[in-house]
Amino acid sequence: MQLGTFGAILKYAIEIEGKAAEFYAKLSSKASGDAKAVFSDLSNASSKNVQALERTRRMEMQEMILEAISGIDTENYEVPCGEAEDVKGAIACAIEMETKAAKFYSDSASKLSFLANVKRSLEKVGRERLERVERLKKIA
Amino acid sequence: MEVLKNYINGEWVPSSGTKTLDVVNPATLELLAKVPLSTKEDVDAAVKAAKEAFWEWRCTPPLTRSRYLFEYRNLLDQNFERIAETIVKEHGKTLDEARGDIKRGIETVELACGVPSLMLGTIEEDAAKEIDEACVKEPLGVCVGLTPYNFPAMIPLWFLPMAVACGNTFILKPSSQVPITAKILVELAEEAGFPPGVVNLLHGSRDVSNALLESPDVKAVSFVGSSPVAKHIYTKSAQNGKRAQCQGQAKNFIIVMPDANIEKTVSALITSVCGCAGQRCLAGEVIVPVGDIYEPLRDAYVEAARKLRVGYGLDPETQMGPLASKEQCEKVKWYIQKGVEEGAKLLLDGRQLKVEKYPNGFFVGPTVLDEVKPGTTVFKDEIFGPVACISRAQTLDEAIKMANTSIYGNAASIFTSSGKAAREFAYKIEAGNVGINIGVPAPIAFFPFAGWKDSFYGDLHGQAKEGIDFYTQDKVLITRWF
Repeated sequence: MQLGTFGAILKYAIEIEGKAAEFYAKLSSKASGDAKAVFSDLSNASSKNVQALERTRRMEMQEMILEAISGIDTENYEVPCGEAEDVKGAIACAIEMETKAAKFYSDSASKLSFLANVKRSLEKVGRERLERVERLKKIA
Repeated sequence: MEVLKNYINGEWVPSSGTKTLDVVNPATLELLAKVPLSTKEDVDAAVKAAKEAFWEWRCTPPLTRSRYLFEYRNLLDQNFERIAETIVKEHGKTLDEARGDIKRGIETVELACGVPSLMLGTIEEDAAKEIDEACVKEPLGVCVGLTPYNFPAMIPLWFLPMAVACGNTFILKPSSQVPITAKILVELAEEAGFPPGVVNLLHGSRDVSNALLESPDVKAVSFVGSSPVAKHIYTKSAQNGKRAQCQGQAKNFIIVMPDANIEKTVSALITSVCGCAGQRCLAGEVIVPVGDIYEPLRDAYVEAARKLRVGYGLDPETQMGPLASKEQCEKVKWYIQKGVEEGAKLLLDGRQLKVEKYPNGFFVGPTVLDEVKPGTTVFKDEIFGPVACISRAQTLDEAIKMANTSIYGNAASIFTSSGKAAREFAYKIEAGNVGINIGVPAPIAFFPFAGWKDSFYGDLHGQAKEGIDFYTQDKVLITRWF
């Protein structure tokens, strides 16, 4: 699906954060030790991202300079990490999910560069998603 | 189907009348509600309630009044998405545009929260020997807001918070095309705890407006709509001894200089002309490229406009929604045809647009009329649709003179990289809201929405510090103690 507006991008971002929060919460309930703590952290981080992105959507919208957007297709960022049979497999999927999520935020930030604070918010979430990859690799 | 109720004296009450109008989603044609055509009896009841509530509210300290507004602001924020979706459904604009609508309204509530500072008076000791002179600001009484369909949240919220912050009571009469958003705004005011009678809601048509204008207990009227009606309301208010601020129509010119960045300018032009499907009183309608930028700018604009995705505002892929009503849709189509008949070249015809999922919606796609001649109907009249009229000028001076022929003076913009050209434009242009490399020069809540000429009838605007002045009257105290 093509995301052609500020709101469509933010809606998608909120959705992927919500899904990530749910995904890691389920993993946390299955895992133990360090992995459990990491998954729990990541779930909480995504939940906070949902709040931050909702706030951004409410507060940073500038209709005076709102521009149509092209070139953001959700197909490029989808990674279906469903019910994992084992934690190891789930981590592999999670790494791919985080990498693609980071790419989504980076691509979207550049498209929304006319809204400086939105760009900054998306870049911040993107950096946080990318940092997750290293944490996940450590428990893989 | 729900028949909307009026809100009078803290109660949701049905209109005493029996006639209603349909509230229709302009994209899907779904019937959303029925809005009553309130009667003179309803008007009298609302005015009576507002009048009776006035004294107690007027005596409520400004700091306490501002606390109600803080609460109201938080409730608007909590209901942000619900209001935005309602705006999309009853007006047709896209979800982002609806978010902009409510966000702008919240900004005015935030401004009004500062009323304890904004209403401060002045004093001079020893105005004469041992005589002090002070000036205090006092509220007027019952104030009325008559609001249009194009900004269902922002415009009611220009007036309601400022009026009540200053200690007035308020009656909102929203457009019968978008009454559901108004209902939510008033429900949230109720939830915020405003005492009965301080905020009231009356649905209906021009009969309600006229009855309010004739009521001796109404002290001030704020209106946004067409210029003939603005003039009528201003005149009638003056005849009846009321203050009035009446914002009317527009025909906004955008001048593009040869040194403008074409890519960025075209993006801004699309936003200006096609945002809210052109139904903004700050929308650009006449684009005047100066000199040899004419052809490249025009071609880039047509290409960008052609790519715009038109559809239902709740669909995430939609970049432009329908017109708000069948009447407006027909009117815009009529103007396109008129432009062609008067010699303009139709480079992009939005009348041909079909939106597959919503074949009966009131859609008109982006339209471009090229080589529009000064003096023609589409050059002069406000179209209020996504129609760009492109006219040629050889110099900045010529372009400014073209723009200044308009009877309206709401907004005008220039796109340039020259500070000198920008300054000359800002200095000479006859418009109240001026954009320099901004296609929609919409003032934030801390500045007045400064329309000129036939775009505004009145002395004080409803926003910012002028709003405080409009909703208060000065009382000068001259004091001598023996």
